[in-house]
Amino acid sequence: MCQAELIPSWLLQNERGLVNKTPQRLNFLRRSITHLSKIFSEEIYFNRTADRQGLLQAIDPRAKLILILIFILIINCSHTFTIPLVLFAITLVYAKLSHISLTQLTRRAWLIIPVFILICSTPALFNVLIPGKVLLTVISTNSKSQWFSHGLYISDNGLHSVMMMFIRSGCSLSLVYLLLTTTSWNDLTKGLSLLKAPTGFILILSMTYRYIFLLTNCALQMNEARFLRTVGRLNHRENRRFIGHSMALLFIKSNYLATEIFAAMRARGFSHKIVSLKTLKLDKIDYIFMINNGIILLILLAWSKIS
Amino acid sequence: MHIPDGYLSPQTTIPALIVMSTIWYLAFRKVKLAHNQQSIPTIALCAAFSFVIMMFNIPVAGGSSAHAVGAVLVAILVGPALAILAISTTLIIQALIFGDGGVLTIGVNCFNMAFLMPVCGYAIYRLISGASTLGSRRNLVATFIASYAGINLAALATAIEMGIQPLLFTSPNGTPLYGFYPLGVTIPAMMFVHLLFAGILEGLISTLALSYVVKFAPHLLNQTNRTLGSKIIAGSWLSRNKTLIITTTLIICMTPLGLLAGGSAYGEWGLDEVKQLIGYIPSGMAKTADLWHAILPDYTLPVLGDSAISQSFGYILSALIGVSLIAGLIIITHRLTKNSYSKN
Repeated sequence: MCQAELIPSWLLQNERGLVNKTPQRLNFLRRSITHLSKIFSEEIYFNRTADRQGLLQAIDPRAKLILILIFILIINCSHTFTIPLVLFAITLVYAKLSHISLTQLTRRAWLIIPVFILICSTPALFNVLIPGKVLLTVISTNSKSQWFSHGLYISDNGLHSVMMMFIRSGCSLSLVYLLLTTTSWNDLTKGLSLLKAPTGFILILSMTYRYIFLLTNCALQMNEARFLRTVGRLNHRENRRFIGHSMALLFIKSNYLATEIFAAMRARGFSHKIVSLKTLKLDKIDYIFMINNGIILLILLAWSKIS
Repeated sequence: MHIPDGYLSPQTTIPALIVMSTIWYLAFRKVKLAHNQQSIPTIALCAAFSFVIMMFNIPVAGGSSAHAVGAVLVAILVGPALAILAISTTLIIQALIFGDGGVLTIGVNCFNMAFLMPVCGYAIYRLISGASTLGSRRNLVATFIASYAGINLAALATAIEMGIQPLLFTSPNGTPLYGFYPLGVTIPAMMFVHLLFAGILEGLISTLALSYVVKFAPHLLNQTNRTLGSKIIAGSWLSRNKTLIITTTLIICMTPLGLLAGGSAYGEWGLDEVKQLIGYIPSGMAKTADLWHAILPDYTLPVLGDSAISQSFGYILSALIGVSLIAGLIIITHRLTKNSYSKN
């Protein structure tokens, strides 16, 4: 768990006896609370890792952002395993040099979405969807099955397609994870603004990110209050009504906040300009980083042409 | 419904990003007109609101729970232009911070959930709700149907985007390069869950939330109606063009009638038919016949097979694409030339 590295273990332990006694009909509240609190724990984790003294933390966010986007694009354009896997190996090396836990990276990037894709893609392994050479026969051609007159087997093309998708998504997610753990949100938005992204877009992104935590906290408190006060059984209708009404209440709160925040912004002399205390400047290390990665990409390109 | 990286080809995701950039620009201009300087905090808070409502778990049968998207609800509460920007911001933050949905697929995901869902849902809401009072039975039924239709349209768009991958991107030996499930698999798989469960849940939650806002903070909705010109314009546009929309929809639905007639229309013969009629293929015709390959040959989708229902579906889809393209071109021409002829 990412929280385990930062928060004492006794604080993360559940009161198992109590949790098990939670009525099944309140599961949705427990899940909401878990999801909402995860936002905070991830924010703490990403901020801590972005503050570490590592290679990628020292690189200008613009260079990192451009490079990672190029890497993701190349992974998504390639049709062989070599390039995505080499780029994943490079991701692992950068993660190690940036003091990012490789176990965490692998777990977060590969064990959720790519595994889900893999499970959903299982039928595509078979010749029914993607024909090819036989790798593993499940039902032989001699069988009298009405449905599988050509037999049922795992085809080489099917396996290639499924694995390609699994690897593409895992490698892309690893790169996104690497960017998140080595760049603070403020640096990322600052980098985007220096890359001439529209000011309005950057301002919206930064403000949304800031107020997500405030509204998440409101939602968390509402859910916790309901969870703690509910005794006995409630039907789904009542529970859904609670969720619908909580959403409405959040809308009312966010509307009120928008007016208050705007008044506060005007009082402080807001002029639609992005002001940051940190100045970003492309340094020698950034140029070396970009040139080296450019060479790596050229080598990969040449390699893919030869092979 | 968040499509991750790796499932769609960059040839699909990058054009979607370009389309969405135009939509974002137009939506931002509209919101800025309505909210002026307050536009930035309004969009940001709305985005934070949509982010948080996507985190809520809604109880369903047994002990399980599901998520709502809430895009149509946001559109009804704050207007479609603001909803496009708010939900897009939410999806961008989800992809960049929480790894939910891909980075390259941001454009596609935004198109489905931040454009198609709120805009179509809102149009349906206005069409059904009409001039009814906020919170009235008709108004709440309109909210339910709009949310139900909105999420299903988004799911259908997702299924089509995934299902066209094996049609468009294959290796020389026919192996799919990206998504491998054809439309015949993706559409039923996505629509089954959304038509039967997710749509109903989305509709229920949106109706409950709207009824609460109407009861306890109606001034917010009224203010939204007053300040967001886009909502009123959308409503009046629909009512103004009601006859045109109904007629066009009827004509589109009637296109499969052509299947009843046998053979080709006079003068629209293919190479085989010309050869049959006159005994040879004129050399000029043979040379130019292969210059262009239609995206939907013979108004059909090859993956759906040759059954009458799939052919009818292909006809309706082709008519819909044709009408949208023509209408889009006319609107663009009108927009571009509006200033010059209004001056004269």
